[in-house]
Amino acid sequence: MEERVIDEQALVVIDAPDEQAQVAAGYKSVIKHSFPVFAGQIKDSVAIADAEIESLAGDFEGIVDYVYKTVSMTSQDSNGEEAGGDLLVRLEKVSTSLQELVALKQSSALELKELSTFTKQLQEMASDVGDISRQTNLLAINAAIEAARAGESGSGFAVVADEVRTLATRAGQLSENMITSVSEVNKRFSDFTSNAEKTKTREDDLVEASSSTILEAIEKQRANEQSLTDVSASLTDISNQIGNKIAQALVALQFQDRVSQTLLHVVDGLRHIYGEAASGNAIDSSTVMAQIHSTYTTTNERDRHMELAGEESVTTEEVVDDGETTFF
Amino acid sequence: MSKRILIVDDSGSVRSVLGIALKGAGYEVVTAEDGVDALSKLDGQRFHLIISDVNMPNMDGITLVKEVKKLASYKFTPICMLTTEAGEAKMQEGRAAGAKAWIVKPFQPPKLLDAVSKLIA
Repeated sequence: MEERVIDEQALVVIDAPDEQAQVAAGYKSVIKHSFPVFAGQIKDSVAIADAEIESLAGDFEGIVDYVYKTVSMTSQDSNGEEAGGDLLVRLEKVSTSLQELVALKQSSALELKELSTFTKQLQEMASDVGDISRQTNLLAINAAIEAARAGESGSGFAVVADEVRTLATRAGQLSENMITSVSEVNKRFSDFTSNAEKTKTREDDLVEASSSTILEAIEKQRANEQSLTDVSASLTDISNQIGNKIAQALVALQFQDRVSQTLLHVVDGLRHIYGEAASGNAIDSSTVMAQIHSTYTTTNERDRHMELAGEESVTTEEVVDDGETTFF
Repeated sequence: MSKRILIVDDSGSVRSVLGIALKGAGYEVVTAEDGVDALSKLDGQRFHLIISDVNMPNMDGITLVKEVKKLASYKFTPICMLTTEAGEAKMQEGRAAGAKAWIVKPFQPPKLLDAVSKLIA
């Protein structure tokens, strides 16, 4: 707390009227010459400080704009992470599909292998048809011999026997064709399953390698995302801290307005005293102090006046605290 | 669409800090240096709130409130006084003129934004 500016104990009482008039004239002269200088100096200082703080506030406004843009960009990065997450899901699906595809191929190979057992049955059936055709052929030959023995009466039967023999021969050829075709199909089945077995190991290796590459990429992407999330969280935290600092700075910057007002009230006070001194009338201390008090706008000014002027202060009124909001 | 606020203050630093606080909260801000400047800015525009200082050159804040209340298109626009004036008498003068709220400087950004959202709602 500042000490009182004037030590009343140190004041000297002057009794002689002539000396009093001389001293008063001296003070009036000092006031007349010095107060305009004081007032001018204070006003200049206020103007300089106002201009500088205004410029500082303008620069600060620019910095805050950058901060808000950075926060906005951080938020956009977070959206990018979501897109990355979508990519991971897709990669996982590709890996699963690859494994399913190989499993499906192996399953098809097994089914073909089972199908090859049917071709054996078909071969046996074709072989049976061949046996039947050979026996039928023999029967037809015998029937033809018996028909020849019967002479004229067996001539019709000989025709039938001949036709049966032709049919038996065609059945025999059909049986051979079937055996050849079935053998060919069987060979193809066999080749396919054999190839499937041969490539199975290589396919398994390829799928495993592909899956592990995809999984590795996924893990790497997840690590990157985590890193981005950490950076994003850190940036958000920093942004919040900056936001709080900005709020504090905004309060601090407003004090220039208060300081300027207080200094300009001092100038008003000096002018008032100057006017009184220049008028040639006697100066009444209480009136001057009341006039000075009436120019105050802040609680701080009133408190300071009370503290320094003591009982000479005028009556006080109810005041609202700094920063308080009153709704009507 | 963001809400528009007219800031009236003869101090450039106060206009700047008010602008920072309000624009950061998503409001659109227009500034005026005194009451006369404010009345010219109102012409042909629409504002959801006016925040004005009291002690200003050319036209003070209380006179500005009285003038704004005479304008048909701004009769119901809320006006908040933001001033270093902490005395009850001056505050009642503002209330009688038609102001809706009185905030004593220096303002705390969160409290100011809270008051603004209540006045605009």
